[in-house]
Amino acid sequence: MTSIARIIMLLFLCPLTVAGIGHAQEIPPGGTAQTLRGELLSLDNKVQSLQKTVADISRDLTILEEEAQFPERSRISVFLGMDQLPRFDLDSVEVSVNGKIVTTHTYTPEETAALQLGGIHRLYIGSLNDGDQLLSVIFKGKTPANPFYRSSASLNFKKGQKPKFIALGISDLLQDNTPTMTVREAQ
Amino acid sequence: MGCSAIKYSLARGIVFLIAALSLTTANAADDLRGDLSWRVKDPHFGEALFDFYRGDNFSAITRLTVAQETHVLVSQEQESNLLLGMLYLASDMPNEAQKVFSRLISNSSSSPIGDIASLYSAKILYSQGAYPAAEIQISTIDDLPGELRIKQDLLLINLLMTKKQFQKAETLLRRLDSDTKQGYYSRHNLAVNMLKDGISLQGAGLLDGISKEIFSDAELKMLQDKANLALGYHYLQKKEPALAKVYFQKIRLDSYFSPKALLGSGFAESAQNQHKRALIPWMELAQREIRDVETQEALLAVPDTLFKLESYKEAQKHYQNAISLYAAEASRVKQSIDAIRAGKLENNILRLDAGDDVQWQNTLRKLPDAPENHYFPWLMENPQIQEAVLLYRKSLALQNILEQQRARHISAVNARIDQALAEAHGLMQKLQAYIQETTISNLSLREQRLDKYLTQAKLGVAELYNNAAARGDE
Repeated sequence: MTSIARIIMLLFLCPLTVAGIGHAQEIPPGGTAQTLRGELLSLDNKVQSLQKTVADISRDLTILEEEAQFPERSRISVFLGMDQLPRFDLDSVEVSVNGKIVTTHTYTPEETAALQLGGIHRLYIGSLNDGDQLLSVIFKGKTPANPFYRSSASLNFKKGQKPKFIALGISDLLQDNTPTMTVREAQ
Repeated sequence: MGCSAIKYSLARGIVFLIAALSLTTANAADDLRGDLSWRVKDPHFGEALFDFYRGDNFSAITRLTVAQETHVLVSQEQESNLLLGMLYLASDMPNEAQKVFSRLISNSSSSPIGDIASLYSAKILYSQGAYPAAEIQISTIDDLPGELRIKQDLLLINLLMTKKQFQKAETLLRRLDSDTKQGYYSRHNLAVNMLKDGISLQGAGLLDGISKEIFSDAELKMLQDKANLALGYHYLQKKEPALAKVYFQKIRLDSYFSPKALLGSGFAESAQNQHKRALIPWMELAQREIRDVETQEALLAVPDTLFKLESYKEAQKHYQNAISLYAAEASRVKQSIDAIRAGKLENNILRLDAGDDVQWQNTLRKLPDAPENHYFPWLMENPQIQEAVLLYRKSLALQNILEQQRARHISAVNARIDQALAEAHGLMQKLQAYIQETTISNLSLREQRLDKYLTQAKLGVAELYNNAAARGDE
């Protein structure tokens, strides 16, 4: 076979892929390559199906666990969101309910970036009795002027017989690099 | 030998430059995170978004499906479905993603969300090779946000390429701001497709444009090396070796493509009857990594060329060197085949507990050399082996998640977990068998190639003796 013929043959044996062109590979004789590709495709479909099963189990487990540990009528969830504050480096948030610390979370750079992009972090899920409650929050981080910046906020609220959602928001309303936190009841 | 090995390498070089392109593609997941900026109205939706942005797609899927199942998403139902489809896509689950996008398209056609879903659906269809269906899907799109409009055009360019409508593809590409990474990749893909289809002037022109750029980005520098390699082999094929040499010499010496460039440089010199000059890149290459086929090729090209130059003693020395290196290498290949057949690849490599895929690959680099891992990076260059290995690792990760789920002791799901564990086990067995078969087959081809080189080197020695006899030498 001439070199040109060989080149043309090999070029046409490379199937188009996502990029538009396939990989070069040592091609086994006969129909083996196609059989192997078909087999791999079938295995890929089965792995995808298993991924879905595992995701479904994860969903159901989460629902069952949350229902068992935090019954709807006493459930409280605390969410944290943050505006895009490129000059503020969030370090940690501490949440207390009625004077008792219920959670402290230290943020990784990836988590801070996720918050800045609009993600909302569920800081806490727990149970509360009906009645008047006090939620207090302290957050710490770095601003250009203060490497040990710290601020706090609180909210008095009444827990009824429905799940309660509390939304915490960090923003720099005055745009003076002194981020503040708002605490409110969410829908 | 000379001729056939050189023909083989030339062909391999051409195939390689085509192959190298697929490295440019983002995987099926693409980089979806920057596609859209979301306005969060519902904290449950925002929670899934938080996990998505920090790279934990599995948790994001769980959070979002929990919110959907418990009906707590009050205001962002359509957006949450779109995000769910994107999460499936980012998790290499295109089948599930396609189901979600299809539902969205039926429920919200002629809406921004329907348009976005159509784009992702078309991308999946394209990646599955269903080009006409992808084209129909993309034609239903009315409008898209800025970043996605570029992705739509890039997909259109790829679809035009599948129909060999290169002029239209080029026109569209020129309209885009193609000075982006993806733009350069598209230009490169289009150019190589043009060369493949015989549209030499335009294809080479596009590649030359990339060749002349000044990049600081490492990935784009690599793309530039690929473009130069493609041009080098293109001009070799066109019997323009002087031009080929110019492009081979532009490739960085420490580049991934350097062995192919050195080999090509030697071909270019040889084609101009500059045999002494051909020895320079080939001698450099012959001292490099023996597991690279280009090095194996150079080990033979050097004495063949010395023979042509009538440096018989030197040629004999290099043939003997090649013979001993080929024999040692063939023996190592045999040891690797035996180790893989004994299941050591699965036990010592595939099942290695080293975290995610990136951490696993970092750990592999630090492992001491052993027969089962000696050729592993080279085996992973085969896309089928690579995909099977990644599927095995994914199945292993799923098995670990299932074990953790079982440890949570929720009896209501135990039977499902056990069934899924059995499925994971069965899949891993099948994948292991597939990996074993394909790696052994690949190594056997490597062994055959070494045997062929060994025979050719021995024939070279024999030819030297015949030549000496003919000349009346001792």
